[in-house]
Amino acid sequence: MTHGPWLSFLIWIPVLGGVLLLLPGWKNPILRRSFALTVSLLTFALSLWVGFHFEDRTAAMQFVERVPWIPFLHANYHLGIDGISLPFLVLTTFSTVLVILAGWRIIDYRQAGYFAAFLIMEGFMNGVFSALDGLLFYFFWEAMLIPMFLIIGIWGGPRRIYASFKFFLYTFLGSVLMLVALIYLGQRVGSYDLLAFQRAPLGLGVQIWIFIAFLVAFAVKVPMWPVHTWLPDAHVEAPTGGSVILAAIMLKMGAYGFLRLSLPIAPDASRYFAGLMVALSLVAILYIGFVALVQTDMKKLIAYSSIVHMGFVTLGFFALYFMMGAFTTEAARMGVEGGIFQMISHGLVSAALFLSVGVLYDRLHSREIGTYGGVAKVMPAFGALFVFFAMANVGLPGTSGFVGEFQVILSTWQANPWWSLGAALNLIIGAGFTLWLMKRVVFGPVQSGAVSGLPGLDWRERLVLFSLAVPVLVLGLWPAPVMNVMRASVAHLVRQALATKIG
Amino acid sequence: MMSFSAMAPEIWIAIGVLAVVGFEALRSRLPGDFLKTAIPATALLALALALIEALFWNGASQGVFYDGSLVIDAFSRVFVAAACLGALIILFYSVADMERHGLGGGEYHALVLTATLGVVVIITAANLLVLYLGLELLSLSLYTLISIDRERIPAAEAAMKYFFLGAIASGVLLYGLSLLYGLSGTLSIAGLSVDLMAMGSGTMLAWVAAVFVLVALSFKFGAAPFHMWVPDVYEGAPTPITLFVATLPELASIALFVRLLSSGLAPLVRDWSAMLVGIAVLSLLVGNLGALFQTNFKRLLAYSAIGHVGFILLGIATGTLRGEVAAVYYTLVYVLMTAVAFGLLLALRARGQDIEAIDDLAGLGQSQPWWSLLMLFAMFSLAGVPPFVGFWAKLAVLRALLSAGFPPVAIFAVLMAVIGAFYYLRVVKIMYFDRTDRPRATGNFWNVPNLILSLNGLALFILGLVPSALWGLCAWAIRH
Repeated sequence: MTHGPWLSFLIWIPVLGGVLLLLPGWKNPILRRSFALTVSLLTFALSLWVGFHFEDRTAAMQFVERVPWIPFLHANYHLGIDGISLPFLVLTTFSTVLVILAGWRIIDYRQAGYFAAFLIMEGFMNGVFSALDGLLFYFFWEAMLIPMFLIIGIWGGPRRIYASFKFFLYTFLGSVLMLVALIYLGQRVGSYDLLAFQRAPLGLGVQIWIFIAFLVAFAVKVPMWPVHTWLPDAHVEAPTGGSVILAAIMLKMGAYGFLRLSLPIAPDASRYFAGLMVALSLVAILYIGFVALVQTDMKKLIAYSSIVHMGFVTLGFFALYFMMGAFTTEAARMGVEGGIFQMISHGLVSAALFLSVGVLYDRLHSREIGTYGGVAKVMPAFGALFVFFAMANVGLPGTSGFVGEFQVILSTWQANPWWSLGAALNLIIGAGFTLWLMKRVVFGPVQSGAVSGLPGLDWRERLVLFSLAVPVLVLGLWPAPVMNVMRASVAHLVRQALATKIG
Repeated sequence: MMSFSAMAPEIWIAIGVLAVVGFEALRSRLPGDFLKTAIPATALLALALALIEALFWNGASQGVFYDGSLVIDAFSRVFVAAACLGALIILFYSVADMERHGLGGGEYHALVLTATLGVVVIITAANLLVLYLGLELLSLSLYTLISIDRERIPAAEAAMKYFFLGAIASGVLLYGLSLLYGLSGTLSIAGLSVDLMAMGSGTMLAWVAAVFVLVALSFKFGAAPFHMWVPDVYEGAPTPITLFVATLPELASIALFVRLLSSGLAPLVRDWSAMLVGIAVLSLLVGNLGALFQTNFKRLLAYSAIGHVGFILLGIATGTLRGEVAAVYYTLVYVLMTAVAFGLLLALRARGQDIEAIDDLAGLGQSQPWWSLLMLFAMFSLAGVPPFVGFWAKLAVLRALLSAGFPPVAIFAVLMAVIGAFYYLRVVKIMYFDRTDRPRATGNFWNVPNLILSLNGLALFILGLVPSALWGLCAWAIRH
């Protein structure tokens, strides 16, 4: 364990870099790109450094910083990470590097602002994952909406205005209720310390209200059926980089919120609502899977596929209240670990899929599946990578997509074999929509003259896609690094979630 | 000497008024260039001296002065300083614009000073009559300021409307105050509260008096259902005057509520709290729903003001110290944000871009990157989104509501805030999302008003990162 404001650096270095980019005078495009890339690489390196110095045998918070922020509210600038937040920090900093690389030449309209928005958002997202104070958490949680709103609205597609407003207002509506719950908890506990919230005894009635307020915020963010409708619009209209961050990080925030707030603060209400949560997760997995099947827009299809995968995540979290038999806690832990691993894997895979679609879109300016066909014949390297990521999306053993889904299915079996079966059905539906997408876009005869004239990947696109393919493969074969980091923290979380706070 | 120092800010401002009027009276005998510098300089100097006096009132001089007319306490120190600072900033933003329209002479400066004097008198009033005097001084100055451009028909209409309704409201207030005087036999605000306490709440007459006072104060603050004048005045008045109307009187209004309702009528809290919740809820509804359909930018800000007043009044309605602190904090933050929004309109006008309709903002993100970024700050801050200071103001009120046992009202308020976010986002959208090929504006940019405006805009962000400074100041002002 190391001292020093490392988490603050992770938050404020990108924010500061973004602010500098907003200053006038970045006339030279190479200079501003290099600057943005340097800042993001520096932040990524810092997050790796934090990762290497992370002590994974304990569930205690590490790299803790605590400075009084609003003394008369007992709100502190309180940061710290455990094994659950660390992987997301690394994922965030990694994705931002990729997004900046991907926007290198493609974004020509107000490029400095584009990079600045992503860097500032990166800082705020790191803040969400490391905040240990309720107000600070909310502060970052809301603040990151502003850059994303601008990214969709300024650099998005034709219906970008509708999509950006829907995105902002949906998530804002969800969050304000969480704010009310956080203030209530702050009054009751006497401080806004999340760990104190987790320890505070609460009656079931209060817990239920708090859980509902959190649920509205997190369900919108995850997103869970039926409050998912903003996601396809936002994804389709956002520029490639925006879709990547949305899918890779922002969706994870909702699930992270369940882990950091809902389960430990309101465990009895979580138990009370677990049936509903499982049902919503299964609806997302099965029903949205069929919705994905009929999409004709590639980005929309991947967006719906994201909802399906997040359904696995919430299923893994909330099935833990139904575990039966001899290995209750082990099964519960496996479900949560599977859910978190699925989040990481989905972060990588969905980012890769959106970037792949971006590669095609940059060439032909169409996201319609019908435009393409036979891409593999013209762009063999790209075709191979795209298919590889599609396989990971399906959950092919050997890719990271397999590990999490398998763990969730396995642990759900301990709760109810029927749920497990329902979730496993998705392996078929998911394979259906993903492979069918591959068949229509990548394989088959070359559809048109436009496709036959497609240029191959340039070195930057290669670099971006390969640097995603490596972790997808490595974590598929050897998930231990992520698993070890989160093991102790997950065990602690499951204990908290299964304990009761009434009384 | 002691006796003069207690009203030093008032004296400096009054001297400023006399000097400016004197200069104007000698206009024919003095060189025009001299007047052009001397009048604004005198006004600024008077306000600056008043500000310094307010900042350096020493703690020993706390108490009630001049036969119970004026009170010096933490609240009056903070708010007199805020009012003087606000008036200074307003002058900085507006003088160039007024001069360009040939209205920047002595009348304008004198009226701004008398209005500020009215605000300061309200803030320091310890006595019902002094309070009323300050209110009338402020109101009469405002009526004249709004119609200062005689040629402008909408301004004259707005001023007439404001005048008639305002006169009725003043009458209503005076009637309420006379009932209170009849009940308690004292004009002292502190004494009033003691007498009412002794009588015990629930007398019919006291309740009627509270209703009259509440109605009049709600009118002055522009709360629904007494808000009719707000959109017309905001739209009709010349923009520099709108800047004034939207900021300084808000300080006076919150002072009225703090002095009269939260202190003087404190024993009747149970009677007025429920009414005030009703008024606040209605203001939130009218303000936020009304703003959705506006096409004129100043009118949009007028409805937004009504919505924000709803939030402020919710803080007062809790009847707790915490709620009072929240309301006061919210008001200061609101004034800060509004000053940015209107200051930007003036700065844009100075560069040849007259913003009337919201759509006039189109493409501003391209042509005026710095001003539009600050406008974005102001809009997100008004919407209550962190990291901007407007978020903390809303949080303060929500916290007061929850601790005083009004959770449903708190939930209603946040839902209204979400509706409110829509029209603030719309402004951002028009500035940034609607692509136009307006070239980037060039030309001389950095002068003193623009520098102050930039600092004002950045303050929305900095005070959002470090909210405890201003919030703590308000808590100190109320609790001491």
